[in-house]
Amino acid sequence: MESQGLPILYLLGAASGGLYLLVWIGRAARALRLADETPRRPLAWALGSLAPPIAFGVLHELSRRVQPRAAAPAGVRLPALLYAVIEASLFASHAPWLVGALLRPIPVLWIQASWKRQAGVFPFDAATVRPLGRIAAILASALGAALLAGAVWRSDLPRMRRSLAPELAAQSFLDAPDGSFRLRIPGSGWRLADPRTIGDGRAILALHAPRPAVEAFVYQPPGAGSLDDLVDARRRRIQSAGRLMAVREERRFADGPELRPLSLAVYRCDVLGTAVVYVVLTSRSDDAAVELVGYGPAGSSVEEDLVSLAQGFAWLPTTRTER
Amino acid sequence: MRTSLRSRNARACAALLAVAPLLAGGARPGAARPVWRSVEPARAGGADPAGEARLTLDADRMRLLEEEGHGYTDLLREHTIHLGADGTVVDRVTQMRLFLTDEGARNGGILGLPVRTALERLRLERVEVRQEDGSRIGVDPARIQVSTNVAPGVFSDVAVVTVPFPALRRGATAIVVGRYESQRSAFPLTWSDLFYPERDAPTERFSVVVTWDEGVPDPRFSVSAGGVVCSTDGPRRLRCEQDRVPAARTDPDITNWTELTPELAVALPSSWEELSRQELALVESAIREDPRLDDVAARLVEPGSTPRELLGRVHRFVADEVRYVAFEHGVGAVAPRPAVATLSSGYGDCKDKVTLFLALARKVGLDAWPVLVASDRFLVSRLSVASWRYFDHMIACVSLPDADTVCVDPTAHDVATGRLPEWLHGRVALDLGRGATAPRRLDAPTIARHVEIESEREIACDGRMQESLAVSFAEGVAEGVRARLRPLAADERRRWALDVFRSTVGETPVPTVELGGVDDAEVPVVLRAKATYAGTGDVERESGWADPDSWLVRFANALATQNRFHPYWISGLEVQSHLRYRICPRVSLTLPGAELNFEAPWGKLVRTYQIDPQEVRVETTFSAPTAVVGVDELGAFSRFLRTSLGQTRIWFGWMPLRRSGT
Repeated sequence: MESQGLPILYLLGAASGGLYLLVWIGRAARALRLADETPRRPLAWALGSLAPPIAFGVLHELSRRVQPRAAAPAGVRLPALLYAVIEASLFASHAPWLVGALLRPIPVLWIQASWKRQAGVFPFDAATVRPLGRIAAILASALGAALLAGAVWRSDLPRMRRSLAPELAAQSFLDAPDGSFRLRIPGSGWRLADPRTIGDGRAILALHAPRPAVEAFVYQPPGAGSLDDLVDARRRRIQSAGRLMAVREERRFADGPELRPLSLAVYRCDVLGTAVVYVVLTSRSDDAAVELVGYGPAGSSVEEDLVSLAQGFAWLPTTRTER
Repeated sequence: MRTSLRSRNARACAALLAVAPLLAGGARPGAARPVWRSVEPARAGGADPAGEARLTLDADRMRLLEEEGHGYTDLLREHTIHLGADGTVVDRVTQMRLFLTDEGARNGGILGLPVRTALERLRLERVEVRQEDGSRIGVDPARIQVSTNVAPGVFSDVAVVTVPFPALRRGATAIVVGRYESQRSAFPLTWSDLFYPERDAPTERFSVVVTWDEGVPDPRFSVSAGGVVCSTDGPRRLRCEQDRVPAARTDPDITNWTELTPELAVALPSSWEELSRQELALVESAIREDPRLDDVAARLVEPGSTPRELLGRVHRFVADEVRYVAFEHGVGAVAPRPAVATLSSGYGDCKDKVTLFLALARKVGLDAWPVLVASDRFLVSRLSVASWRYFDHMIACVSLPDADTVCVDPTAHDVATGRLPEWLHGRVALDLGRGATAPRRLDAPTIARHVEIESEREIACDGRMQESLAVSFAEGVAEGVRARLRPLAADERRRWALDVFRSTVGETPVPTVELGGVDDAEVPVVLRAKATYAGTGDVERESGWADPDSWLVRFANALATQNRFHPYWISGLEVQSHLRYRICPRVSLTLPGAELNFEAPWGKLVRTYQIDPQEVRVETTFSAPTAVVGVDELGAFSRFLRTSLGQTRIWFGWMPLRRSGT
């Protein structure tokens, strides 16, 4: 047996997304049973810790049972309470997995550290494994880390970015960097994203909608053709992503005296069995074009949010005299 | 088609007005016989009675005008008019043209003076070329040309005296001085004249001096816009002058030139009531009882006819059975021939036809009266003195018991009863009699021109499309199309229809075409065509269909204007296209194209789709109501047309039935 210490325990806990903590609880319960020969059910303790209130009871009971052996008793409630609070917070706030993976091991480390100080009375170190087990643990951790990274990449990172993105005030305006157009934010909950890190990276502006998994991007297609060409190209891209089930498009003049054509289209698609709504606003002037593309899971409120955003588009007046 | 849509009157009843004053300097009513070749050739180095030698251009001014692109400038355009107590009118006209470039000499080296040979005498007092070094070259009188200046179907006493100036080149000045003499008593309407300072080239000095004898009432004058300043600088003497008059700025789409350029009106005192009374007397005196009129009227009446039906029959008889031929010799310019003479000869001009119409209408019990029309004027406010010279046409109006007043133009062979031709919409008019105290505007319908396109398109499974098309031209458009097609033989009409089809749709399909309604002014003209378009391939492999709305775009685009300096009059246009596509039964139509709702101050373009699994209907309407587009709006108006009509491509999508699961 060889102790890998607290850092290894943290890595195992974090890399496994918290699953190893269940192993730790199970092994601690088993070690306690061996130490005081009281009947315990390690598996029940481990699974019970998944529920926040029970997790408090499990960790508290584990620590409490070690305390009488200690020369210098430590607090038993605080780390158990912290674990339960973290569990409950993550559960209630739908916080990203990564946050949970990083935070969950901390109270366990706290408990483990107190036990290390009391190694004489309770020499349990759940990170201590045999060589064969160590290899297995490393491989499992590597696999877990890869799975976790993938999951984060697929899901958690955008959520985290979204939660970190600055929120825009309702009815505020976003002006294009070249001053050619502006976008009115239709309500609260819209957040400004970094267009380099989400979407296809070609947008000049990216927004998170108030609802999860709903985003909007603004493009300025270079050397764009006619409005027809732009609308056709976008429709083809949408059709390539899924089966186009319905479309509703209206064209009119954009607000302003310069009579620029504007298309507002709502597409409903079936993307691998999921209904997705796309709202696309396209408008062009003599020498520039703007395309706003928003999408999200189909639903009237999602469509409403994106259409409201599109309706807040306006070209800014030019100083050029048109004839 | 552009021409037909814009069909304007090419023949405002010429008999009511003499010579286009903007070009010729005004016509002069008067008296007696013409004298053609009483020309005094100038002697080289001779006297300079008018002192024209003082009129020169300094080098800076000359360079400026050249830089502005002018090839010549008129150093002087002067009218010296004397109204004698004995009724004589003497108008001494001087024109001096300095050529700034050799090209200017080539283009502007023909000067002409118009003359009404039945009413006035013209004597050319001086005709010469002054060279840059001050030397003078005379003109051989034998080379002076007198030519008639009439359009086909117009018999007129107007002649133009033109002079072949010798040795014209840069720096030379052509000088012509003419003296017109006429008698006011020889013309039945009060003397008046209109002058237009702005012409196609700049004028350094524009001058009209009117003097009159004691006993002649003081003339009235009015200046509309421009920089002409008038003053009475002596007893019985009116002087109106302007220096450095700019050239008139031209535009391609102008219907009212006389309103867009400064105008000086001079007239002996009169009133609109007096003018109305004078002209009405001429018309009424031509409506004399005659059994031939009774016979025709009796033929036109059918038992139980309503007043509207009677109006239609009388109108169609005069419009269709009496040819338009204008007679404007002497007072014939304003006085109609007797109605029975028009009836028996089978021809007449506007006032002749109106007189015949009135005679017949009254005999069948209609309450009708004549109306003078100024076909190139929209603004009543511009008619600042009472003058007959503003008017160039006559129509008739009828008060029907069941409706408002209905006006008809008996010269408009191609126009349905109850409508005025498009070129009279909104124009200034003066009712003769009826207590008229001032001119008014004729009605201008909100939509004066209408085109309707109906197309049934069958898309086969191999992508071929068969089309059955009907393009219906109504109102003003029908007038233009009908006027163009009526003189043509059947083969030529079909060729025209084929040309229209191909220039709209393209050369690829070979359609069968036919025309209907050409010879009946009361119904629309309809172009029908059937065509098959080459296949695009298996429709199941495609996801949708795109088609241009070519016909709508073509006709709506006819509203485009290149005007830059002057307002643009839109004669209200509506183009509707109703397109129905039926699709191969192996696919199901699911995706409609874009609905259009382009709205601007000048009109709108609206489109809707109705889609069923096997059929899609595309309804599009472009409408631009009658309006005036101001100069500062021309750019936006053009953008409205360009942008909205650039969005007219039709698109719809489908899914193979296997995939859609239906």
